[in-house]
Amino acid sequence: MTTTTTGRAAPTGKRRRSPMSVGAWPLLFIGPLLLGVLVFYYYPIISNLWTSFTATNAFGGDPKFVGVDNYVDLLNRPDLPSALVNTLFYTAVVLLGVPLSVVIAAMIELPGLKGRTIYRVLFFMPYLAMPVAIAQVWRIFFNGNFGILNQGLKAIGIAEPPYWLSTPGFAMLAVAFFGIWSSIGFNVIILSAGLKGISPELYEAASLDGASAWRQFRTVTVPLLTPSIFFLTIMTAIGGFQLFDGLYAMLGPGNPAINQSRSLVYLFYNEAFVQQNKGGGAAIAMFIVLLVGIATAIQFWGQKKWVHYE
Amino acid sequence: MKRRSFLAITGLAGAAVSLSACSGNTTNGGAQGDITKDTTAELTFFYWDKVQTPTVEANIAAFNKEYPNIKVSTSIAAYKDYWSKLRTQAEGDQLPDVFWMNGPNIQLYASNEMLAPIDDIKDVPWDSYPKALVDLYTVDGKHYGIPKDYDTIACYVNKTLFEQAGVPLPTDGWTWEEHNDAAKKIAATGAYGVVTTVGAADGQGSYYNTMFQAGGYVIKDNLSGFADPKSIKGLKFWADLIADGSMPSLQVMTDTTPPKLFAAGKAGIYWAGSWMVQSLMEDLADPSQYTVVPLPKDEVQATVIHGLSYVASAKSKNLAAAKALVKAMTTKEAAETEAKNGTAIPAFNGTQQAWIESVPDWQLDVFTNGAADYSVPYPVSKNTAAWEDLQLQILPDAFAGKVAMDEAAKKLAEQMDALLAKE
Repeated sequence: MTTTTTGRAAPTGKRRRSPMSVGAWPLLFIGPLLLGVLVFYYYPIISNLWTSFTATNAFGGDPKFVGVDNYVDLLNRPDLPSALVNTLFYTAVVLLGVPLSVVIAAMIELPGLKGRTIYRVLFFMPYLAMPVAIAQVWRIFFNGNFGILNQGLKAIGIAEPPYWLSTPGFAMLAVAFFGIWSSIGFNVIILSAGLKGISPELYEAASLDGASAWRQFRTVTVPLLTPSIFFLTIMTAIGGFQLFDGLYAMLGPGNPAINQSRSLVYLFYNEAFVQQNKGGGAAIAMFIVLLVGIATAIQFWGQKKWVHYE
Repeated sequence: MKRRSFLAITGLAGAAVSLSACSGNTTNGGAQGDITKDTTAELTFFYWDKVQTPTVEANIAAFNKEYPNIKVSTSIAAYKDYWSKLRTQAEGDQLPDVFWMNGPNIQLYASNEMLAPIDDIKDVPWDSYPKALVDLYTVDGKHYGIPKDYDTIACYVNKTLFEQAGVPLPTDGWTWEEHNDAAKKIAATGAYGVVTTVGAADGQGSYYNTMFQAGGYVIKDNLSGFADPKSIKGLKFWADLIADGSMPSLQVMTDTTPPKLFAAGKAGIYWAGSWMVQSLMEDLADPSQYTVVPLPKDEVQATVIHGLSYVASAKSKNLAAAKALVKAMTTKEAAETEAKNGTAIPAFNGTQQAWIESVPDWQLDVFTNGAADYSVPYPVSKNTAAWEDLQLQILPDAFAGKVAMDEAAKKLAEQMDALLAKE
């Protein structure tokens, strides 16, 4: 008897793991991706953190530890507040692109719409084109001397329309408009996918109850899209904080309005690549990481109140 | 947006890697010492002006006649990207073996030991190049580059607009007063009197010249000259032109660049460098209606002179071959090829005539005479880009009349001195 018990106990001992466990397999599968993320994301962030505490020569060599000097310099920069305000303004404006995309996506996915694919392609196209190339086209559109926008404004009786791209304030508005316009394509694709996940039965039930199309949109579509909307809000906010290429391509360093229109990343670019101060640039980059982190944390905390996963 | 920026950056890195791959394939370059016509090596060469590709290729072909087994692979980047790519390559110890260098960057690269001193290249006829250029590329008493070409500034003028305004064409030795008078009269006819890249804070084409003409300076003994009253006079020259309508606002010149305004026949006078000759020839509807005159003078006559040079990387695995290439690209024969193609004024003394004759109607000797008689070297220091960026941040508002020029200039001088002290 005893021998049989022990005989049986041995195999059970080996199988003590829960039947749900699959051992090291998952690690093996996510390993390559994890390695990529570690090497291309986490290593640079940590290396950047280290750089932000150093002063190097113009070519990034010969690093010397300088403590928090770079951060002190950053906080004393006279142009920091305006860059922060510009970045927040831009982020706020491009976030308006999310509700706009919800409306567009809902219209594209309306049952019975003809030429749906064409609309999808049209809206997605801007996302495929190179931002810098598109920016050149928008520059022509906004050109103060002969741009189509100002020609139109003159035609409707506005004698002296502004120089959109070289007047502080208007320049930021033009860049933000460009930001919204180029984000809509991506937003619509994500939202369309979200819309497909909403069961048609819900709409049937709603219309049986006598809900109008607008009411269906408000009480069925939007609440069930909130996970997608939340995702887009996070991505758009992060993208907004990282404003650089649109600004650089639309205005550029030779523009008289650029000083009042700099974003945080523009400051970073200028410090690291024009002034050749790598440590100072790294400190600005860490500052942006911190801001994005805080903004994202707030959004995750807030989502509990408005995002419905069922 | 993030993902795509990332792709753009990896694209750049890819380019850098492929460049470096070329320099890695060393067979037997000979690290130091002499090379012979049998020497086998691979060199990389980097430059920015695609207009000059035929000249570059012809000169490499001539080099290969002498050294048939040294393979030179070229790569090119637009001027705006050139310096950021070069910097990336420098940071990764992957500089091309030979490349173009300019004044604002020479001290930075030389003093950080990125460039090879080239004093040991034999038989370089240093006296055959303008002294200002040889000096520009001499850092701490060592030669780092052999001059390739040079450029000076002059006024391109639209003869038709001068005629319409009833203003006589400028002559050598015309003054600021005559210049401003002409600009004002042309502006009165509805065209723009004068245009220049002053709004983009490009001092070389505009206010550096007037600062020198007024008797001021940009940098001396590692101190800023912007607060000097004479320098301020040279800066105010432009603010006054904008204020009285002789020059379009910075906004007009931002949305349509000065060369475009000028090429469209909308401006009487265009201050610009000799490097604009070729592209204006292509863009002007009728080049014979235009000509070139010297810059107007104030206290003195002056034009900024600047020029490029060929340099070799200190880290080159085929340094001897790289130095041979530097020399081959700057010989009298190479300069003659350059002149014949008309792309830039060759630096080698006595070879400029072919360049002058490339546009017979335009009196291009204005540029070469200026270089010989009254040119002032392009102002540089170790980290030129840093204080040039300050000009961009501070001066445009003063040119536009939003802040007083004296205050802007003083602020600029203070901040510039702070940067110079750190160099």
